[in-house]
Amino acid sequence: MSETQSPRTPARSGAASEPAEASSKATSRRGNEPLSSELGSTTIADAVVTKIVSIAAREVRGVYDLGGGAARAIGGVTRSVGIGGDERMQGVAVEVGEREAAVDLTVVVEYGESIPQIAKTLRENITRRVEGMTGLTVTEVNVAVNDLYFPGDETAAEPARVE
Amino acid sequence: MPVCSPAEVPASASVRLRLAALARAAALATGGVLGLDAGRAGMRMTASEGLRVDGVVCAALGDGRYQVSVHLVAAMVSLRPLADAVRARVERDVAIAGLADRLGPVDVAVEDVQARTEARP
Repeated sequence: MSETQSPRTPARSGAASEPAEASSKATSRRGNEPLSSELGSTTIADAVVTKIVSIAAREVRGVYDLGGGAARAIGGVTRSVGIGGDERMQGVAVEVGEREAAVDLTVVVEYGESIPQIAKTLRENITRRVEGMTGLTVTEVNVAVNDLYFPGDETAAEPARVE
Repeated sequence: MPVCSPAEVPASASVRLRLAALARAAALATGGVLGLDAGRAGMRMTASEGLRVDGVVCAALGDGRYQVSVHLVAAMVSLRPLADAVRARVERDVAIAGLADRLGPVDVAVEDVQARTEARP
């Protein structure tokens, strides 16, 4: 199950930067304007965009979790032994360019919810959050629904054998 | 020894160290900045004369000025205005300290964002 929006276009750089603009001394740059000037550059790490996307995705009703089955399973194991990274980052891949960002997202959806509606809301919310916080233009949000969650799916913890 | 404020840097210290301390203090005083990030290996820092300023890198430009890079952790706010505010505050505080002619470009790198309730490692 996959939902795709528009062609991927951002210039891949990893770090958002650009050669100095000789003429601009303005310190206020907004929206799609360059992240660099002779005064210095502004860099937004990929991890920042990833975290914003992750938080924005979880704000959408009907999204139960992020990540594929393997990612969630491995994340659970690594967390249980105390070496796990940030679990909120799983299921999110971003490409960040100088002015644009593209997002790939894998989600688990609650059974009974409209997947097209969730995908639409995800795109809107992620685009609004990323563009609002970073000034990058989101060119693409690809949503892959890889599982359904049924209420009551959680495995009940076994009662402790000793107190 | 880590430096927490410019007051801990003696006036006789190197310009590089003084600029780094000023930049660190200016960034931390900017609303929306939760902290500075020295990186996993702790290499994003400026060290001189037994003192260390974490999260700020000062690189000599060869003309007597220093390019200052501030690596920060931000709150969930608009990041580009925040970076501009940090840059402006660094420039202002450096000018007040009489080092404006030694300051080159001020680069701002947002390394992480956190909700205010998240604990810093």
